[in-house]
Amino acid sequence: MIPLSSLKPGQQAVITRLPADEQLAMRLREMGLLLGTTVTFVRSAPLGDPMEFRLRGFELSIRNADAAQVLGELDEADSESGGKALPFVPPAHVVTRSASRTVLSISHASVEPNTQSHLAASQPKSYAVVGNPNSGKTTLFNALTGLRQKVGNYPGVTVEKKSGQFIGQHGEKIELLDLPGSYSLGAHAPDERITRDVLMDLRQDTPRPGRILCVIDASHLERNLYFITQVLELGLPTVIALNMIDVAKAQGTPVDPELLAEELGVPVIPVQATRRETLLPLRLALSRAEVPHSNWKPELSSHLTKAADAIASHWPGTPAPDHRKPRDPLVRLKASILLAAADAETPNLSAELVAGEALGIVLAERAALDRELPGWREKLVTARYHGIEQLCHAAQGGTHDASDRLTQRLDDLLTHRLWGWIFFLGAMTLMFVSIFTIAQYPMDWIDAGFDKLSELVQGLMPSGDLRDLLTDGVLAGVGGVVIFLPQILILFFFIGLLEDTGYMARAAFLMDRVMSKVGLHGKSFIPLLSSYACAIPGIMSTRTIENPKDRLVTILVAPLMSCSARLPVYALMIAALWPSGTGSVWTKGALMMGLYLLGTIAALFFAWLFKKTILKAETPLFLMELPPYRLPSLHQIVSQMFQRAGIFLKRAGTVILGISIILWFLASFPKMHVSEGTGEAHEPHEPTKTEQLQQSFAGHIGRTLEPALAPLGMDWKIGIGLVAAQAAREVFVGTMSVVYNVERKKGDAPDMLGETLRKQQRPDGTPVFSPLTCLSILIFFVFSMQCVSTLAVVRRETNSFRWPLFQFCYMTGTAYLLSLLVYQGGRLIGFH
Amino acid sequence: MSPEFQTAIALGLVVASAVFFVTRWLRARKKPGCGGGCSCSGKKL
Repeated sequence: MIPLSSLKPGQQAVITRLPADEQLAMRLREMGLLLGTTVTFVRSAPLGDPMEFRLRGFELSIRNADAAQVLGELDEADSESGGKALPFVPPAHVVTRSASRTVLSISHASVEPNTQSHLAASQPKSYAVVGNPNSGKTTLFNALTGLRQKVGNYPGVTVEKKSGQFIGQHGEKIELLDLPGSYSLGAHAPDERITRDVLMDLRQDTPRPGRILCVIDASHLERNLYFITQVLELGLPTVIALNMIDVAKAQGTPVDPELLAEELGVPVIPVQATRRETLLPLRLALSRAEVPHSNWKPELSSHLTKAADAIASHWPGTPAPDHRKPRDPLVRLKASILLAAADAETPNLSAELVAGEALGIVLAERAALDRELPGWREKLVTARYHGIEQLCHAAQGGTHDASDRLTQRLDDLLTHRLWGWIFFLGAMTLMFVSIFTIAQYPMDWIDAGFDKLSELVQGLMPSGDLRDLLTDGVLAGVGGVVIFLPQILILFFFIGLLEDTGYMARAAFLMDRVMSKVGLHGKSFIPLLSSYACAIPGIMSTRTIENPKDRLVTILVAPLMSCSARLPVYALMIAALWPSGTGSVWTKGALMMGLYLLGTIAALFFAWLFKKTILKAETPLFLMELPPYRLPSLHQIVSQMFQRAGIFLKRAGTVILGISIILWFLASFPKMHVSEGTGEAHEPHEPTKTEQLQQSFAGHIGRTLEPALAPLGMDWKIGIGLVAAQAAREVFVGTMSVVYNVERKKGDAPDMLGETLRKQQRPDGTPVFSPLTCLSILIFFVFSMQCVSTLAVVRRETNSFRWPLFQFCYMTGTAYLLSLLVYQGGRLIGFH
Repeated sequence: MSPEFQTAIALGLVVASAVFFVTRWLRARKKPGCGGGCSCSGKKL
């Protein structure tokens, strides 16, 4: 026997022993790594850890240390096709198809009619959409609902709740609830728990939909069926969408939907979620007045059935045990989940499932099983996989282990020790350079548009406060932020592209070694990468991280990744560094990339520091599927870009508009009166704009802060910007625009804000925005915590004020210290 | 449009903005959600 970590690329092994850690072993089993399963070692990540294995037709990535705990016998008959399960032999306890259906339909027919009516004519047409991650579930949901979607959150957690509707065959509205992707109802991550809780009717805020739409990736039928068969056991009316049938066919593993439907007893509709013209049969199936429920369930040994039934009969709220009647499938499934849980997870899971008095029975039944049926946990999962293998034999002619060849070839390149890194860095460079080159044209058009609008207002209205508010407040403030929309769209386009193609998971695979060095999971890299767009979805995506401490560390450091709101500030300061038309795109791109890199290094450093000090914990388990590469759906990416653009413009039209108006007021009031002069030198005169700004409310705030900001090279006007940017970072740009447009003399040509800033001088004639000050501002913005929305999400996510407060203090404190160091250090060595 | 009238409208807009922020803050306190951040619209798209 050798550990899996000792295999060489291409070598196969048959699993003979799983780790002693029951939690890890159960996770591996549920992903299909059972005793007797053949796995192929594909490759190690470029930094040597983690390892990629192929089994049951998909790629699973685990760390060397965990692979070392799994033992196997070398399978000398290595083949290119990859790992596979042992040839299917129906176990003795598996009854024939027809017999199984007969037995099961009898059992369901005798259960209480309100939960188990065979036909669901009276139930409202509302479907929960469920499936494995990467099964195309959300693509299908988007294709069915179009723009009729509502995006919100499950109260108490920041897991996104997406619901939508479409018009059915008879003109009726059909509701869809898109639940987070899940591998098992055992639910190991917070988003999987949401799916489990909604399906098991455990959430008061989200009633269980009356019907279920299961989405299966036909090219990974066996792995997908593990979760789907669990869902089918709930006994709810179900329709199955068999997605990616084209991919399965191209792989040489076509699935017969009719045979699968016959086996499962529910409609199975072949679809290609990316092609809307294939969805009509599914729409018709979902519109049906009557949808059957499945009769499928695995054939368990009598010991296991008895144990699950004993627990189910003691479940709170269950009527007195009656051995003549079968259990309610919902309670029975809850009992099975609790029975199979690892000991360490039991107390929490029991509370989540509202198990109450059943807990004692669970522990007693486990003890009995340990005595009477050694290896019963393995048998529990194996029974399901045996049933699934039987299904695959019927619908697909067997279980298929062939991996997508294109994916293998691309992975040979993209996770290569040298080429993998070159591609990764190249993709990042391309993204940041594109932000400057492509975005420049639409930015110029938007800028010219706002200038024209401003001139138009000035030409149409007589001078007065309202005109000043419209031109110097509204147009300058909102225009100053909207101009960066093209850059933000390009950023979202690239992130969407990386996610849609499947490269994001490879980035996590590549980076896991680095992440594990700072005590984090490779999965933490994805929230961190998402935080380049916005920290809020980044923080929301930490729900996939199982360990609470790792999740908290990721939440705490995610805002250090430079989000799109920082982009306008970076772009403005870079524009202030080089006069218009000078400085190459490459230099500006390199500086921008350097700022992003600095934020990333800071995030990793603080993650390491927190894991070593306040949030000490062992490096977490890494178990991740590497999905096949897919051609990105341009429609999906573009619609997501426009969704984001709509949200950005809505912010510009509400929050930023409101802040611009209030800032204009603060910068323009109280009004200074005409000063009375006594001699030639003190002639009565209209106060200048600078004098007005100095005496304004904003001026007072800025000057109060000036002593603290002066050591960083910032004056009181920049101080006004920093105060306003506490609402949202991009407001800094709008504020600078308001502050300096307020100062602009009448008749001055409207100028690009960067040019305007470069012209500003201190009383001693030196430029306000010297290279050192610009650098100091940039450093401050890289590190400081300046987004109220992010802090609100962190508070909700951590359910405490302590962590957002800590986050604000450590980030802003670091920003201040490093800006101070850069500015004062720079002056000491002769810069200015 | 006289300068006084312009000032009155401008100040009215400032007050409306302030009321908008106070209402928004109060609503956020009462209604749980995702904090009204850049990934959360909370309305039909």
